[in-house]
Amino acid sequence: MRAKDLMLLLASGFGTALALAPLILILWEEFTIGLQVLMEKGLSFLTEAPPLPGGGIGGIGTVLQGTLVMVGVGSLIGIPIGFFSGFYMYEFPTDRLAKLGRSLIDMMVEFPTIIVGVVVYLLLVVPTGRLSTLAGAFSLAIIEIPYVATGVLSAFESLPKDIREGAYALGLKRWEVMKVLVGAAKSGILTSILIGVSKIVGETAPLLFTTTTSFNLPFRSLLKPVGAIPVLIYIYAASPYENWHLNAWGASLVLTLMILALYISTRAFARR
Amino acid sequence: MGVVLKVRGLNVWMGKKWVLKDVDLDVYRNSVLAIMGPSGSGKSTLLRVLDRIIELDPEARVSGTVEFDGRSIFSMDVHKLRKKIGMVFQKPNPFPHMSIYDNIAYGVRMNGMAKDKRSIDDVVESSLKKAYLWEEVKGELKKKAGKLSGGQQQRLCIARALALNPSILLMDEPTSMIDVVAARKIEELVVNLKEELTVIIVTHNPLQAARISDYVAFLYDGRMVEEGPTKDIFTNPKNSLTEKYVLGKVV
Repeated sequence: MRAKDLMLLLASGFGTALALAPLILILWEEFTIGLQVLMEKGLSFLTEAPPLPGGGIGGIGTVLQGTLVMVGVGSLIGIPIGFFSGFYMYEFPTDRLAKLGRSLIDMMVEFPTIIVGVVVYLLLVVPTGRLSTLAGAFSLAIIEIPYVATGVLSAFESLPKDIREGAYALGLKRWEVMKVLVGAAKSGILTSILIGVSKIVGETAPLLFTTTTSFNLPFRSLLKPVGAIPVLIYIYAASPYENWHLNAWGASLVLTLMILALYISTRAFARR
Repeated sequence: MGVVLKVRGLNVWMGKKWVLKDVDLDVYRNSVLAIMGPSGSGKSTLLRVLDRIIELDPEARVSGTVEFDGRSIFSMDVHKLRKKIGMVFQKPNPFPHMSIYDNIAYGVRMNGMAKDKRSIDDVVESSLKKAYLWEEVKGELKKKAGKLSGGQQQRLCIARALALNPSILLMDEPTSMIDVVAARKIEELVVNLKEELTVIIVTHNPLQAARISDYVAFLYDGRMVEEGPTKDIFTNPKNSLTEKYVLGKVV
C-alpha cells in the first residue's frame, strides 16, 4: 500500500511538473529577452512607433494605443451586453430565450475566435469597404460577451435565493431588486468582467481580419484601422528581421504584464 | 375585530403537484394567527400566496380568491401589496453586503416613505426598537448585516419589514433556524406586535402556537382541517386529526 501511494505521488508530481514546464519555459524566454529590450528602451518603448525592417528596436506606441482603444471600446459594448444577458438568464430562467441562452452560452465560450473575425469581416468590413478600429473592437466584444454573461449568471446563482425573495417581499421593483443582487454579488461580477477583459487583451485571430498590419499608424478614429499588440507579435515574430524579433519580445512581455495585472486584480476581487 | 384577510376556495399547484386544496381562511385584525401542520402540508405555500411572492416561482398556479380589506390581492399592484403585507422568511435573509442601517433604509427609500436623512434615521431606530434589536446594535449601525448572529439577523429582517409600516406581517417558521433564547425574544415581540398589526406565523411547533397565537389554522395534506380560537383548538378540537397533532401524535 505504501509503495502504491508513493508511486501515485511521484506520478502526479511528475505530471504536474511536465504540465508547468512549457509555461515556465515561455515565461523564462519572454522575461530574459523581453526584459533586456525594455531595459534598453525604457519607457520610450511604450511611446515610440514600431521600427522599419533593419532599423532599431523602436517601440509599440501605436499598437498599444490600438489595443487599449479596441479593448476599451470592445468592453464598453461587451460588458453591458454580457451583464444584462447574465441577469436575464438568472431572472427569467424558464423564459424560452433565456433557456436558449443558457444552452448556447457555454458553447459560445468555446467558439473558435477566428470565425468571429471572419463573420465581423463579412458584416462590417466588406460592406463599408475598409478595416476599422470599430470592427476590431466589435469582434473583441463578441468574444467577451459569453465570458461576462456566464460569469455574471453564476455570480447571481451563487447567492441564496432567499435574498432575491427577501428583496421582492419588501415591495421592491425588479430594477431595485437587481441593485440589491448586484451589490451582494459584486465581487463575482467584477471577477467575471476582469476575466472577460483579460480574455480579449491577448486575442489575435479576430483582429487579423478587422484591423491593420501597418503598425506605424497611430489611432486616428474609430472608423480608421489601427494595429494591436498581439497581431504585431504574430507578424514581427514570423519576420526575418532581428530588430522586429526584439520588438516582438518586448511587446510580448508588455502584453503578459498587462494580463498578469488583470489576473492579480481578479484574484483580489474574488477573495473579497 | 374585523376580518382583514379572507381566503376562499384557494387551490395551488406547483407543477403537477396539488399543494393547497380548497382552502378557506379568515384572518382577524390585530391578532396572531398560527398556521400549524406537519411539513409538506402546505403552510409555507399558503403564506407565500398571501403576499404573492409565490409568483416568483414559474411553476406555481393559483386559483381562488384572497381579499385584503375587501379587495382582491390579485388585482392590486403587487409592489403596494407587498409593502402592506410584509414577510419574514424561515432562514434569516438580510442583505449581507449592506450595513444594518441600509438593510432597513433601502426599502424605506425605494418605497418613497421617507426622504431626508433625519426621518430615515427615525424609521431605522423605531423599527429596530420594535424588533427588540436596537439596544444590541445602536452603536454599530454601519456594521455589515452578514456579521450579525442568526437571531440578530432574523430580528433585523423583522425590523426591515416593520419599517414599511405593514398591516400584516407574515412569518414563515421564523424561529426554526435560530437558538432557543433568540427564539423566545422573537415570540415575545410577536405578541407585542399585534397591537399595531396582524401577524400570521407558520409553525410546526404546537407549543409555540399555543404560547403566542390567538387563532390557529391546522393544515394537513393541503386541506384546512380546522381553524378557530387557539384555546378551542387546544382544549376542544373538533377534528380527531387536530387532536392528535396538538398532542404531538401526528408528525
